[in-house]
Amino acid sequence: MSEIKTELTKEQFEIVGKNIEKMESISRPSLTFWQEAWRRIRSNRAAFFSLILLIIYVLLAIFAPMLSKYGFDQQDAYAMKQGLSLEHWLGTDSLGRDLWVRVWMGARVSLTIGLLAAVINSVIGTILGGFCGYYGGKLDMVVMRIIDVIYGIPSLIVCILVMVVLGSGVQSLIIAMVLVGWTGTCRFTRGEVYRLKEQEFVLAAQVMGEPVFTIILREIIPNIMGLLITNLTMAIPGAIFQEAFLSYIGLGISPPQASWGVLAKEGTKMLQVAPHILYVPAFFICTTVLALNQLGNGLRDAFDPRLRGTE
Amino acid sequence: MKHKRFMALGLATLLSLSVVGCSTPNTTVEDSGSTSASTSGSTAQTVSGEKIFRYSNKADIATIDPNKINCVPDATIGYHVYDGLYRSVQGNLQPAVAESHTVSEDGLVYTFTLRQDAKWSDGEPVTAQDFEYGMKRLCDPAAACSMSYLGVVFKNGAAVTAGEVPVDELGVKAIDDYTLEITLEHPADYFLSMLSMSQFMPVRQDIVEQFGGEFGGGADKQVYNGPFVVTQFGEGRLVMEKNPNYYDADSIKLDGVEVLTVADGTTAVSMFNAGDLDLAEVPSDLAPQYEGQTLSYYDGSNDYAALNHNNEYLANKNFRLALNYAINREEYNLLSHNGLYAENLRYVLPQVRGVEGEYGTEYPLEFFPLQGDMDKAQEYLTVAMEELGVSDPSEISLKLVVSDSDASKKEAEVVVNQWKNNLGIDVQINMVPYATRNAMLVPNSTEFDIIMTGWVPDYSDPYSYLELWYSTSSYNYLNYKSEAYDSYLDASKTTTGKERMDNLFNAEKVLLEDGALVPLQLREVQYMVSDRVENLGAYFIGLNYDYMYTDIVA
Amino acid sequence: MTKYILKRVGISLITIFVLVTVVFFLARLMPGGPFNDPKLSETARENLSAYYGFDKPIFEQYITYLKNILSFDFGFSTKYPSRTVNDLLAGSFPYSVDLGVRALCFAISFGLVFGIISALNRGNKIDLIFVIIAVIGTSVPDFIMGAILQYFFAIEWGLLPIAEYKGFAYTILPSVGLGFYTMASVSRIMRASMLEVVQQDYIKTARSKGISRFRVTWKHQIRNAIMPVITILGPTVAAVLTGTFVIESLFAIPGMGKYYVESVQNNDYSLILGMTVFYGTFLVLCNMIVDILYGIVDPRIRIAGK
Repeated sequence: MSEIKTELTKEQFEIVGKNIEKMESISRPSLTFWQEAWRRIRSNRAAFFSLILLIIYVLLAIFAPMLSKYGFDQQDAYAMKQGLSLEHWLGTDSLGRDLWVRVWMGARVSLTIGLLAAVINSVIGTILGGFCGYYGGKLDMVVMRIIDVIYGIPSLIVCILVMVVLGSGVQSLIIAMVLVGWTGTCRFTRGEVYRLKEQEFVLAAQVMGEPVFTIILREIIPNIMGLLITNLTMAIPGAIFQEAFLSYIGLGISPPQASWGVLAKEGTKMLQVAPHILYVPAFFICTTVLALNQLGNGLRDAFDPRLRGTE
Repeated sequence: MKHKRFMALGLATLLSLSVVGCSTPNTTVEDSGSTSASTSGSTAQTVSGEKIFRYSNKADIATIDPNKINCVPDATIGYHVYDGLYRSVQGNLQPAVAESHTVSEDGLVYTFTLRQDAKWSDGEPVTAQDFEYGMKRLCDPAAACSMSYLGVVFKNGAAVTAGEVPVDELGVKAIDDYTLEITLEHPADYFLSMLSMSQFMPVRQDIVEQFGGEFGGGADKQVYNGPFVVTQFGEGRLVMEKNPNYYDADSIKLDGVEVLTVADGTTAVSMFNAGDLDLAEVPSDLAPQYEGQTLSYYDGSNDYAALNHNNEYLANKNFRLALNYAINREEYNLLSHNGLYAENLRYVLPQVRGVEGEYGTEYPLEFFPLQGDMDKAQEYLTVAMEELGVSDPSEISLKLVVSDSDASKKEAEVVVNQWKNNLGIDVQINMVPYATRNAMLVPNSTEFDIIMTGWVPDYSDPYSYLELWYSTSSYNYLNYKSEAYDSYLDASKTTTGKERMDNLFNAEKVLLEDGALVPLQLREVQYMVSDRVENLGAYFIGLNYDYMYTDIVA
Repeated sequence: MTKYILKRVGISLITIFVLVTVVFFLARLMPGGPFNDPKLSETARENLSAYYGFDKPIFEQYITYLKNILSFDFGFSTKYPSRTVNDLLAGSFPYSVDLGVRALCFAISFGLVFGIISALNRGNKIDLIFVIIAVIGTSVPDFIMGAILQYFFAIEWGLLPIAEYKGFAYTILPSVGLGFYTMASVSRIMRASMLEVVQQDYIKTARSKGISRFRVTWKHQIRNAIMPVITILGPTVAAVLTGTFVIESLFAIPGMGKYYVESVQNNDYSLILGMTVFYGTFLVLCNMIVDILYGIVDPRIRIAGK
């Protein structure tokens, strides 16, 4: 302390001139939207762990069936409903099939359907909902009535018809789900946009003459990204559940293929006999959704423009 | 347990050529939808009285309009709330509203004398006119009864149903209030046993006219003349109470019956265990847990994988035989039904009536080995591949259609897996809704190569199973064409007794030698009955449970 | 305002008309037809078609159907030949409503409370507990939830009745099973929305004016945060009230969900259409109410409307 000079002298300063660039520069490294999000995700331990878990699940879904000595449809009349063991890591189902392999084969189906259906729904729904909410008026009215009609059509009819036309399979399921599913996100986004469009920053953008598309995409959507992401993380399990429900009433994918929903459904029949047949797929459904939720929460914070640069 | 089962079967088969009941595949060939699972028991709060028998069905009772009943669970209700000319009680034909009858020498004209103390639940007497009206209504095209084909037994029956001849010309006539004359189209020994079916019950014209299309759509939209009356119908339950007007009311021990709709088989079993039901059918997944506590009966259906002979591969007899020999039916049964169904090594249900006793006893046959024969299957496959010009079995690709019930899905998975392992052929499963699958069961369908299905007989006779595959039959969705088969069936129509049965047996053998289809199993329904229930019967044709004289003790 | 409502009603009617038309023709496209029992004779099938009027040209059927709808006549079911669609709906709707309302009450009250508490305690243990409840709720499909609830509470521990629907105790498991997912969704959306709102300027303004924390939360934060929840409520209400198939079949409840699935599986044309009109009207009504609720709850819209 004592060494600090208390008096300032002219010699200590020099004239550097005016440097506009430096005056405007930001001392923190400049990050793009996604870089920033990634940085924040990494610092959120739960979200980061969830991301790792999901990646592990995806890798297992890809490789586990290849590496196992059992085929996913390989039956064994003398190894039915066995519990967890070294021979069958997750036990066997009612046809003596190895559940470890079946779970990961099921993961392929469920994750594909969940991800694709949810993402396609969200993209269509967000764009359409954005325009509806922003413009309002006739466009909004017409789209909302179309949504009412789609809601009213028994989705089973749509599913059965798609299955009949395209045959049962993953693609048909996704198409059927998208046909009836985009409406939810659309309504939701529309409500949010409707709420936001009166706010000052939108007004400012309008005054500055930004085109409508840019306003929606650059100003409004990022502001509701948090809710959209939360919505999306719910939409993925939603799609997984819907597939499971369709399987429950017999409209899912054809055997011997199985999804997690199909496995869980088979499990409910076995609850009193061999509960692990239910618990195993239920565990993976649960943890996947949990991970998606945590990731969603992390992303929600990460994408929030108002939280950028804080901390 | 086993004894009871065989007793029930034996009694059932006593019904010679009984065209009892309106078994539709809709309700019995599939485990989905409307199969009746029954459970019974416990005191019900909703019915007064003490002796209440409670059981459940998987689907709601569709109707109690006797003419329009078209499935076994509904027919079971009809059996208990209506009283026809004759009634089969525990398998024996007993006079009911008819006291006696005479048959003309040519076997065509039956004249029934009716008892005069039979009453409807509203106090009106049961008259010959009620029977005449009911039977005419069954055949009347305007009434559109789905089981109207049963009426072809009457003179002009087919023509009336088709609308070619006025209803008045049907061979059913009330001579006076208590005398009914029925003229048949052709002599039929089994005609009397048909009279116990719900579709041949008396119907009150004034009640039908009062309620129109809603007749039989509610407890108060119909009157009853059987041992029970319906007091509540709808909202997932059907409640019956003892009918005090029934002439034999003294023999009826139950005060009431409650039939619940419990769609989930596991729930029904749990309710049985908790004492909420007196009878429960046990899904095969759960059956091992209840080993020793269950009874069982054949419900008549013989399930098979039907092969479409229009397919280029399936047209080949050796290939079809390879498919047949490659199935290890014992393992199949173990995997898909915990070994609880009976493996079917032939085509016809052995328990149907033969010449004098059971067909299966008189004409034993184990055509396909229980565990299959992989060597034979390979031999047939090799020959077939040569004939078809196929070098590798994996080149053969077939589409198997299965409906969406859990049980049939499992069956399909097992069968396809065995073909893949034992023959190396690739069969793709296509799962479709039940109605879609049914729509494919027509001749010359191009929608399937193989289809999982089965048949429930209308009467206890091998012919009921065999007539499907007559080359011009409208049911022949196999597109099976065999001169030998047709000629044996033709011969059976002009012969009687043992000679006729020989012809039917020969036809069955031809069918199996051609490997026309892949027989798999005979359904054996497992059910539990509470200890306090006495004198309950189960049958494989026409109705499932007979609780008319059931008593509840303790 | 009256004009606005009248206009909404008019549009809703058109919506229902379009819906009926679409479903009428879609149903006829379904494979199989209503009389698909393989045992039916060809004659019987023709007679049945004539009885229900399905033998007429499809456009004529359509016109007849529209006329009948105006007098609320939905015709006879083909699966239940003696029963009208009205009769079937009248019998089952009360059960569905009862179950649905119970489930919704459970879902919304618990969902909102959990969401609010969770948001106010963001990051601490209480938040974690409610987040876990919400995660379990949204990660377990209803048929697993129903089966497990039934297995443990009714079968294994014998605390509650197994099935049927005839008293309060009987309604607990099905209501919870049916409402759990919605409860969890509401709670999650509410939490997210609360956190969103808390950063808005008007909250800061309110706080800086010295309004108590409770008052800010109650009058400003919750009120604004509830909007997204209301948005999802319309479809959710309809889904809960009709999408009860799984719970109904598990707990043997004679509600509408069964007919909804069964009618499609059986190609029961009259019942499909009856269900559609009923459900569609219901849904359109729900959406209308949501729109009106929006006006009541959103302070900005309310002020603008004055």
